[in-house]
Amino acid sequence: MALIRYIGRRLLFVLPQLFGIVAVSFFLLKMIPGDPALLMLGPLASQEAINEIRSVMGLDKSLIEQFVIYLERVLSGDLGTSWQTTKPVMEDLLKRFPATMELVTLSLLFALILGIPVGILASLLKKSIINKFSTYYGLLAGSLPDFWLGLIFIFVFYTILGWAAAPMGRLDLGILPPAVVSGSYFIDSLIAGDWETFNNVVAHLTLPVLTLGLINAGPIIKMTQSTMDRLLESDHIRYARSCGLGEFQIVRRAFRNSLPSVLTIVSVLYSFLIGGAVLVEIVFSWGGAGQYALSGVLNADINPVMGFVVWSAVLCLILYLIVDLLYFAIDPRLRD
Amino acid sequence: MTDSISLSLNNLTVDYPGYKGSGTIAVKDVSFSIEKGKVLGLVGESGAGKTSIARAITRQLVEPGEITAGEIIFENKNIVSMSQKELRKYLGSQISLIVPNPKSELDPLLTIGRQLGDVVKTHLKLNNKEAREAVLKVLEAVQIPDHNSRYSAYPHELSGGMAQRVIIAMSLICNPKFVISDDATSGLDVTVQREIMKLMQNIIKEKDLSVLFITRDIGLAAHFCDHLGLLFRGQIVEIAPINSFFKNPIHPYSLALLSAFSHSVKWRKVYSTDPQKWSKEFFINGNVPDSMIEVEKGHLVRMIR
Repeated sequence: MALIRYIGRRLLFVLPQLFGIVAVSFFLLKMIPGDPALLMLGPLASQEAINEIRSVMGLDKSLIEQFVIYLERVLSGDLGTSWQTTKPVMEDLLKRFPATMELVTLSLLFALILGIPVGILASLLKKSIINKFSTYYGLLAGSLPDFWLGLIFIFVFYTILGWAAAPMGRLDLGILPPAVVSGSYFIDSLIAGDWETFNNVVAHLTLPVLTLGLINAGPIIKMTQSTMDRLLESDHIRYARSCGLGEFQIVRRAFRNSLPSVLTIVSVLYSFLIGGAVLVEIVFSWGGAGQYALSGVLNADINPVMGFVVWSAVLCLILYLIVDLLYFAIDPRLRD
Repeated sequence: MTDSISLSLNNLTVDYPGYKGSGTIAVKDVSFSIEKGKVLGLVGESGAGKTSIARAITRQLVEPGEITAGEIIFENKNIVSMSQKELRKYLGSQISLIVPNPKSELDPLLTIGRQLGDVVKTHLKLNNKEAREAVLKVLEAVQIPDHNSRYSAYPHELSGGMAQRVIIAMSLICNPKFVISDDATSGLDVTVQREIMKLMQNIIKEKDLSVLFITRDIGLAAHFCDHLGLLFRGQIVEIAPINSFFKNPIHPYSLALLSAFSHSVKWRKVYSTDPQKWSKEFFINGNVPDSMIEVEKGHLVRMIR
């Protein structure tokens, strides 16, 4: 019961939070110089044509009025139209966000599968090679840009070796996307039981997932290792040792106690990558949401950018709610 | 002779090395033995090396501490030279530890039933149902009220005294032969302390346990122990049967400690020291000598004659 009340209270704050985010990003975007009307019509357009399109887009009204109009539209589920794609932003984003989420989620899963065991082992085996490996890995992963690693991978595995699929989106041209259920090709092709498509999806996912996963495993390893280091020296683990518990149980208890920290770093990485994977998306022509928003910024196309902001805000708020519920599941001290 | 001894320390030395060479010698050349069914009290101020001795016996010294010399004999086996695997069989089942600050010594994420259960399951190879029964039984034995519902309580839901009872339960659950109590009541207020001490006293008598009772409170030790050792800067300066110790304390540090704990002027006079005597027999250039002299049967004092 307490849990449901808590979720209810959290959801109550979602609307004011969203309003704040939309307001701040709307006014910040409006401060960027550049006239969309001018960009749309090109340098040779007549003043009348420009004025006409400005009044159609509502650009001749005051900022506050524009904001109110925008808010009303957002509340009715309309994020406006992108003048670059000439499609409603909502429709564009519904196609692109699943692409980004699929990439980011799988990358982070990969990073976790790699990072947690390495972090634990590095903490347990202080004088081992794996401990040294983790130290240098953290340094390397922190200093290499992800898009650069992506380019290297493309060069090695596609250009030279020819093992990987072409870095041109999520599927080969000849293959139709699976019927939409979740929006993730990976899941949808599995649901459809279409192995040809599934294999193609995996082939296209491999390099970008490797790129983002390897880079983001760095902080996960670091966090796992340092938390495990601290916990293995903690009072209750030493006491568990002096009760004669086996090493496996000791490690399991220590890891359980380090889960909240790992969860924190994962949630930070996740929310960051929703927009922050954009360079890797560009390198692999992924067609994700970050890429879409970026081209909006570069072309004074405000609706895609605002749409992206609203979507990411909603996703982040959902993400943080889930993370908080996971904290509850892990730590009984938070439940009261 | 050896059959009547539960645990003995022979010339145990514990060192916490610094970056260069030997750093702090926390325990120096400590020897004592504890007979079966007896309680040895170990008293000393903080930093005297009490906890280092407790942790050395369980081989859980905090890094970088290490045992550099001596042996710890439990039932004719040397704990110092055991492998980790062999040691684990003894810890928690034959030798168990009661720690201070019970709330930080319990895993915050697991119920106390689970934590106690893990220990019996590890040592006695019980299944879940048997383990649960054993846990409930021991929770009852340490007089935890409403033990059925406490079984699924988390450490943070317990009071300090209750958590201390859980730790005592943990130390008893596998029916050990030897229990180390490391300042077990230090975090508790006096009334709870009294209850816990009473409980421990009953259990020790009932189960015929051998106990190393480490405390800062010499008054507590007086009521509780058969023998008393006084620790000063990592060395035992005086060790004696309890009556002999209080009737005839000899070392100036013992006297100083006793007079500090004496609440009446009369007793303070009885336990008074003559600083003139200090330098001659008991201290060489401010340090205690290496030799101990037996002044009565079983009453050893670190001095020269």
